[in-house]
Amino acid sequence: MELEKWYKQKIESNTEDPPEKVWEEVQNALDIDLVWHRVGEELQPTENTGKKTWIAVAASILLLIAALGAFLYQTALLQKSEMADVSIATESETIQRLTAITGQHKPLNIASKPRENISHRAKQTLMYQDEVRAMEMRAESPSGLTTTGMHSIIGAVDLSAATDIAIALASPIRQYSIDQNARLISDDDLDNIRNNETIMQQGTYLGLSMQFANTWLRNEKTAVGLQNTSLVDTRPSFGKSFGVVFGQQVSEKTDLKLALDIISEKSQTYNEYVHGRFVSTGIDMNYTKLTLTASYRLAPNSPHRAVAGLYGAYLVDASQFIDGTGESVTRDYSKTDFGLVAGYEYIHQLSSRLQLGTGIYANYGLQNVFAGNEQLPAYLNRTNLLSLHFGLSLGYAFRQ
Amino acid sequence: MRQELYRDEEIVNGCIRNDRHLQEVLYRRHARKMYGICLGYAGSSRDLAQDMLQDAFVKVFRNMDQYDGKGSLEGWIRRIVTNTSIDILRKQSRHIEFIQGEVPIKQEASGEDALSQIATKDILNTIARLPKGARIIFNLHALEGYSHQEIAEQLEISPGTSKSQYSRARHLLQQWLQPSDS
Repeated sequence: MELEKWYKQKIESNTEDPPEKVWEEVQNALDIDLVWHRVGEELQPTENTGKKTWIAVAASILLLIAALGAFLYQTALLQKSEMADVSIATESETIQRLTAITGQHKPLNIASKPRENISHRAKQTLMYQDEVRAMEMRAESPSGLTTTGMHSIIGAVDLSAATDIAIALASPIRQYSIDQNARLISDDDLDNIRNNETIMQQGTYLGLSMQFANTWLRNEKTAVGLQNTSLVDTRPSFGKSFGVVFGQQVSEKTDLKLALDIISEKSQTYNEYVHGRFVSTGIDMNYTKLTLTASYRLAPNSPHRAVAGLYGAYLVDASQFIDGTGESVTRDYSKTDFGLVAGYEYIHQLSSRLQLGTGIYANYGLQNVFAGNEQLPAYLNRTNLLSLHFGLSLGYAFRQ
Repeated sequence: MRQELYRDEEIVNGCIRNDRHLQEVLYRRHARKMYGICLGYAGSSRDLAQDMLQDAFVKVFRNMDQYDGKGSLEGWIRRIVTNTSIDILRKQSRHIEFIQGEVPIKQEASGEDALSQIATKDILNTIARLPKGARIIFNLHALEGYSHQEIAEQLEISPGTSKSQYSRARHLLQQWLQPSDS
């Protein structure tokens, strides 16, 4: 072999990395430049539009979440308030009628405070109301009860039993029920309500789920690509998920749900400027994903649920497409990922056993999924998977 | 060939914007090869090679806006590394030493196998034995492909000196790199 060629090949294939201190020194020198540059910027302030855009986006999201939270809170508060008003109005009316019969003004024996445990209070009031009505009817009849007798009837009512939706009265023997708004409902309706409550509040269910997601492989490159000044133009990217879901109610308001997505697609496309033209580049990643979430009803029997949980995912394969040409990049990415899930669900009860769930869920990957390659160490392309999922699930309650 | 995540255009643009992340991407991509070149000029002195590499990359980043994109980015960086290395060697001493006297011509090394068994470290130690001037000339011609005219202009010597120094350096290296018969 010719000496020159051999020498060139040996030197250029050097396998020795320069010590880290060299890069540190380079940075130090550049920092001095940077400080001077910043001083210049301070003297001539220019608008940092990129930063402002981010602040605007973050503020909009916060505003949206706050508005949604306020709306749900107000709805719940209004419901409670209406119930309280009905309850208090009914209470005073009942006291007046009782005073008229007995000749004594006496408050009803209801333990709860006016706006606390409204449902319970309303139930008790209605029970008294009905009792007073019965006494009024008997007072009008020749065999009517004496006032002493009336008191004894009131005293005979077991208040602790009022915690049930159906209230059994000692006399006259009738079944009364109330709904959440303290309205009287018939015995037939009560059976229906009981059935529904069984479905809504109890059970173990299994189902199928599918999701459509707006995904983002968030790294330095795709983040910079959101700015107008960059040579990279980050594009909206989408993926689908299919899987099965298993759910179990663990308390009156809380369900635990385990979802296995057989396929969970994550992708990112962007255009970049190469040799005088924009070239489309995309990364497609397929994961198998396991998600454990707790869903919390915002009110008893409410179809609205807040969801929070964790996920773990296993990378099946990853491909990169540049200008229509694809290649596998599975080795460049970590085999696993994990992160947080938060969202909102709305459950439609289709029948006594079938329920249809719709929801919107945000996933935030906590791990850097880029494992690095010969040219680019992992830390230089720190990549987190972020996605917003629109989900649909069909569940069957096999145990109630 | 594997496509890189970061293209040269993007890196250059980022470096011009003083984007530290893309500056590091550029550094990591080219530092190893450029360090090898610096070692060739520094003659196995790692401290000196590191100084060369450091100064060279600072120049690269400071002058990135002058890269016109016509040639390869690596070629442009390499030119800066080479020039920086020579400048540093020149600054070390005003006078650049050359090989004095004739070098006896011996038969070339026995072939590919003999050369391929020599480690890079030994090559660098060997090249370090050359006087500084001959070492620069050998590197500029063998590594960078400079003509003797270009070398002469760069080092402010005559093309004849460049030719003769190169020839002597080559013969010396062959002698030193030949495995001993014992």
